[in-house]
Amino acid sequence: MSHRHSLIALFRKEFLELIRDYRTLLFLTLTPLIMMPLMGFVMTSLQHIEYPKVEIIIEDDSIGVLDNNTFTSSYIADLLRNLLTQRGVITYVNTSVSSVDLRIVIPRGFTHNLTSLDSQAFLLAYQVPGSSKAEKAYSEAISVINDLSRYFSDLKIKYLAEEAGITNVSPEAIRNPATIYVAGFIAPSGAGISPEEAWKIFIARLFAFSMLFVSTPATTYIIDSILGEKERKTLEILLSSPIKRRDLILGKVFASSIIGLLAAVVDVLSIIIFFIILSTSLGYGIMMIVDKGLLIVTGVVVYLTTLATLSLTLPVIIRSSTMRSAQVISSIITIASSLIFISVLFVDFYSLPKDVLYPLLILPYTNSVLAVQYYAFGDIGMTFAHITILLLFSVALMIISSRLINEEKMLLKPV
Amino acid sequence: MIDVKLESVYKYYGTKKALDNLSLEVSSGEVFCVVGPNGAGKTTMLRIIATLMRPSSGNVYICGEKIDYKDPKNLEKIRSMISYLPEDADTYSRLTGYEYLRFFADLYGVDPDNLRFGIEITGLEDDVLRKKTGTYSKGMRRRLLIARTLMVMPKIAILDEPTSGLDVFSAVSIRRVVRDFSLKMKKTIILSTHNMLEAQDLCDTIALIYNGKIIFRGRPEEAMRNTFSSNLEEAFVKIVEERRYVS
Repeated sequence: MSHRHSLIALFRKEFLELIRDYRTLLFLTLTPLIMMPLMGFVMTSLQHIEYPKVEIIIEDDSIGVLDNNTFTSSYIADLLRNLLTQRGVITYVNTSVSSVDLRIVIPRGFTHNLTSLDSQAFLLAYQVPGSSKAEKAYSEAISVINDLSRYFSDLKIKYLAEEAGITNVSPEAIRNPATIYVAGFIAPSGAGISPEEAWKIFIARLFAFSMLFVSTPATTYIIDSILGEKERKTLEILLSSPIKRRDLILGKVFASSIIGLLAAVVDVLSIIIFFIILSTSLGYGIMMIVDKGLLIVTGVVVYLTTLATLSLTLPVIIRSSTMRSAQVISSIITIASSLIFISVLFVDFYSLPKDVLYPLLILPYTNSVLAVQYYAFGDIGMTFAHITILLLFSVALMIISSRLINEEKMLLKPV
Repeated sequence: MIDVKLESVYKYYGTKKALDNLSLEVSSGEVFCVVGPNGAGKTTMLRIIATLMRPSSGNVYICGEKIDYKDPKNLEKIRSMISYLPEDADTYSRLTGYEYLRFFADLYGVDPDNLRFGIEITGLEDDVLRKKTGTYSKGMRRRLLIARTLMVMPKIAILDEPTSGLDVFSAVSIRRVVRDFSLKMKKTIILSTHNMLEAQDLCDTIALIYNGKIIFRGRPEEAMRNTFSSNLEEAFVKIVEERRYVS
């Protein structure tokens, strides 16, 4: 019996069993297809239906005069209410309400100080702790107060200029003599990049994050593929057959990696759905922000990440051979992958110090993240290098696994 | 010619002795039956012959070749000469009967004629073989497993309690298949059983294992004659009781 035939026979058997395992397939495809669009929905829609409530209390009865204009605290309160309402904040003035996220008090002397040339005016804010709505209300209030402050600052500067007989005055130039603004984007190498490429880098980060959903179905299937044989009482016959142990491992891993391929396709699909939701809400067309090359690289990396996860799980399954310990190990692997794939949202792995990055490279998932991110930066060499590391990692562990097979242990230990 | 030879084989599970200085020879073309009470060491012995377990000490020879449990090439060669059916084995429930047989035919490099022979052995209709084996009765699955074991035309077929848990009709049918295979193909068959009728009906030689040792080896009628018994079951009980008394 040739090596090729037994490998094909095993792969075919595993594949048939896999495509007839409707429950696993359903779990595999539905998880990312539901989760990613759901995240898109949460990120866009839910935050729009969360309206914070602000209550404005007027304690001030002073009157402010600036350049022959008279201001009252009621006028200031109305101005604040209009500006806050425009920003989606429900605002009440001197009205008692049952539920409120932020209270803004206009204290005595506020209007006078607001219009004076020698005093600063203070509003008092009282915020509900630990509430995201209150945080949002406070953040909107700061923006509105800044607008208000700028408005009165303009009035004061113009008034003083008139008094001084100066005609050519820019309030902004007096208020902020120096400022900074984003003129463009650069890669970590310092090379300039276009706004589209900047988008690609952002998308790459999200693609790397999306690999979060890859490891669970892969480990679930490989555990079932090996220990399930024992549970279903088919393992002993298979082990007593003349199939090479290397072929046994390869057949099972490659059939399980079909799961990975499927996961990759579903993953990319779910991300596209996610971006359709996101870009529609932002008013962009989908093709403005999704790069085909990045999609292909992500697909390849997802497949190899699955292969690496399977290879990482294999030696433990083979040596422990109990379902419980294999599930514990698979959970540890899933947690390790989650740590990397979640932290990619906040951490720039490519710029980590070497003494931190190098130990992290032991994990295949760090290489997955770096391959996608380097591609986004246009560094094909580094992308290829990390893809190669992923592949070598998988092959090495598969070879080790085939040497670790101990038929007696696998048969005698309880599942 | 000797197809299977065990030479002073010991097997320990931790401190528990499962096989105790067990030596045995099975001739080519012989139907060799291993009988013994539960926990006597029958399955351990069959697994050692099938290369799934290593003896703690002692040697095992298959068709003159010593099993080297550390040499993967040697193990692959030995495994290609053996076909083993464990006692509680089952089929792949998501494969059809045809797919199941084809998988093993491909794994062993069985030619189409032998695959057809395997299909014939199952005694199952074409429409049944097209269904997933998960829908089969226990008897049907057992016939499929027997077919799988025999169609690969092994030099040595090892059947661990092939009729265990089956109804009378299924058991008789499987015994018939094994007997026909043995007569036609002249292959060596080692089977273990609790059923003395089966042992008497099928086997050329029986070996009685008790506490990891062979306490009787010979023809079934010899066992009955030596113990003045009218059937093998009675002979078996007498031999075991005598052994208990002695020890």
